[in-house]
Amino acid sequence: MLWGRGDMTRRDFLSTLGSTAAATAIGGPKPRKKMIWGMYNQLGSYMWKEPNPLDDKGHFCGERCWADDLAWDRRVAYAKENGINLMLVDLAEALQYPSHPELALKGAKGQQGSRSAEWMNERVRKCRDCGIEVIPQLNFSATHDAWLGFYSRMVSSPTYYRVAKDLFRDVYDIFEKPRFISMGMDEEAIDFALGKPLGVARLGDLLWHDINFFGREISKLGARPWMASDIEWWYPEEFAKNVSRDILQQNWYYGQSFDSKAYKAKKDMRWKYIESYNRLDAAGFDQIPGPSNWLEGRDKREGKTENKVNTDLTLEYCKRELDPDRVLGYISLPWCGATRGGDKTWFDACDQLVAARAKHYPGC
Amino acid sequence: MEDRFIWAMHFRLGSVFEPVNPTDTDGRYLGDSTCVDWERADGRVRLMAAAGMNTLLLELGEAMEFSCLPKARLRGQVKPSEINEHVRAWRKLGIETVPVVEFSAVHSEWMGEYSRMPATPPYREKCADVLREAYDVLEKPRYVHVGMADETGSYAHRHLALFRNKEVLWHDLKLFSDTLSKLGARPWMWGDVVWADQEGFKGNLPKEYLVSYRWMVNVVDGGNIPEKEAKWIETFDALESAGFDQVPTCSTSGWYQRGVARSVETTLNPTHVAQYVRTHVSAERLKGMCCFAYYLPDATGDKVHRQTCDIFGKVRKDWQAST
Repeated sequence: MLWGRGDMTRRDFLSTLGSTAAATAIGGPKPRKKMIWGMYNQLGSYMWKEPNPLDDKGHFCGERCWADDLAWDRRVAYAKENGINLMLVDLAEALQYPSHPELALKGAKGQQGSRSAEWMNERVRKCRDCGIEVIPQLNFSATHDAWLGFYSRMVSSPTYYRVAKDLFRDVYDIFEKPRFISMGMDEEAIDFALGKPLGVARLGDLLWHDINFFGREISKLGARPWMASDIEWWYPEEFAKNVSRDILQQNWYYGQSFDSKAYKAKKDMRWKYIESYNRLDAAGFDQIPGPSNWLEGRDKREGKTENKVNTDLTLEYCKRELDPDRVLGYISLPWCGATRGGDKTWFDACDQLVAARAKHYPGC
Repeated sequence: MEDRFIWAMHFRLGSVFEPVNPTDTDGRYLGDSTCVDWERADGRVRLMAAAGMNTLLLELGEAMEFSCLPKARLRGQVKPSEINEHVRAWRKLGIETVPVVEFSAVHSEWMGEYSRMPATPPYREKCADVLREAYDVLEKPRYVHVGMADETGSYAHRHLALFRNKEVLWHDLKLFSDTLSKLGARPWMWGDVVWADQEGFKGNLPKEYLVSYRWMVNVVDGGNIPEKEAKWIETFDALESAGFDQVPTCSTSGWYQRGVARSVETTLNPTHVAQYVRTHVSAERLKGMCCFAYYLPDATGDKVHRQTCDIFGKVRKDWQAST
């Protein structure tokens, strides 16, 4: 399944990356596309918990926001120094969306509130000037969308679809026609919905419908849709059958072993996460694998105290296993907020990506 | 009428049990049409009356043209005045009709777009409108039933798992209760949600609710309850000790899935439930008995309805004979 993005087709898009069919056809050297070396920056934080589920404004998480100025500046400087060329910014409540000001947090008791469109736009421009493209992420996973306030309780309703379109338009404008927009979509499953004040998880036809709806709306603007791929772990065949190939896939697996056969033999589900890279590749999806320095609970239970190897192993595995034409690059996913307290984790993740890049993709 | 023991049966007026357009972006999840067969409904009510029933829980769902839900229109919906006419006729047969407006987040597609926005201001306002309209149409019924079937985390809907938990659930249930109390009707609900928060319901579910906990399979064998079933049936006891008035609910049809009543043998269930609750729920709080069976409003449901009247009618006779 494919669709056009405004006046740009998928083929046009790939051509702009230098992956031209013509070059292959005449047997000449295949032009190497510029790879993405990306860092995830979690500017907002209200995805998961809802301590105030009865708030009458729909601000279920409270009124304060991350998005610290100094942390932003330090990360951008660090990224620039280390050759990072893309920053995926998870916005959530961090931004005042012009079309929906009701989502903005004021910042109670002198704390930081949601940032203005101008604040964000200024940073997008500065990043661009130093060679870093900034990509917005709006996480529409029904289990990670507390930032949507009351709209997080209207999933798949006419109002919800309208709001999603409005927000995509807002970020497309504020980020000045970004190449990609991420819809998030990680961990949307009933297990993640249990115990929440309002449990919501799309299944089956509705899930595929909404993923493609988000993708189509992003494409209509002129950006390429991007999503986290873990839904594929649970429904690999349906995912391959139903999800548009226009959507860039960001599978993620943070474990410290890629021995999927051993996991499979032990009936440890991690084999599914690892081999998702292969399944997505075989199904013809473009990918941007997402390694991390996050220490997984399973690894913790097995005695590990830190995770310094996943990024290296991810790049090694994906370089070996996947069609290089379908790997657009890598995005490191350090799980820390955009606060000064999160800097060390973020810099460590960046260091790991830089080292793995030099080892597995020298000169790319 | 105020103090009589309730002998109730439940059936649905409309014909659409499950969403047919779950991905409709305009909120028309139940398709374009429904069908109400008044002749059959009248016949069923006559059978109920003959079996000694005195209360009908009439699930309105998509069958009624709610003026407060102008976008949730289907061909074949009936006007409130038409419903009112039949309710009056049934009253003459000794049947008191209680409207059921099913507000369970997993069964409220009949509310159109509002079914996908539980626990939000527009949803809460719309529910209040629906309750007012049902109250008016049924001419100030003593009770209005708000449904709440299956809204637990364990019910994974085919297209959308949607369920309120704890404070959000209790908040919405209190709003429904407050609205009905202001109108002058007593709220009535299925007791499924008690499973979701077995401790929390005690202090949070308003005592105004008449609770119909449903226990619908045969598990009592010679008076012995298998261990794995005990926690489910003991919900009757939990409601009793928490001080709730109850209309315990049994079934003759087992479970319903995707348009078909699964043929679980449950002909003994009404007797078992009656035996259990008589010894576990105080007479003071035991306000009646109800039978909930899954069957369609068309000819395919005739047999189950007849059987239900026979079986549940006998339970009533035995009950009265032993009183």
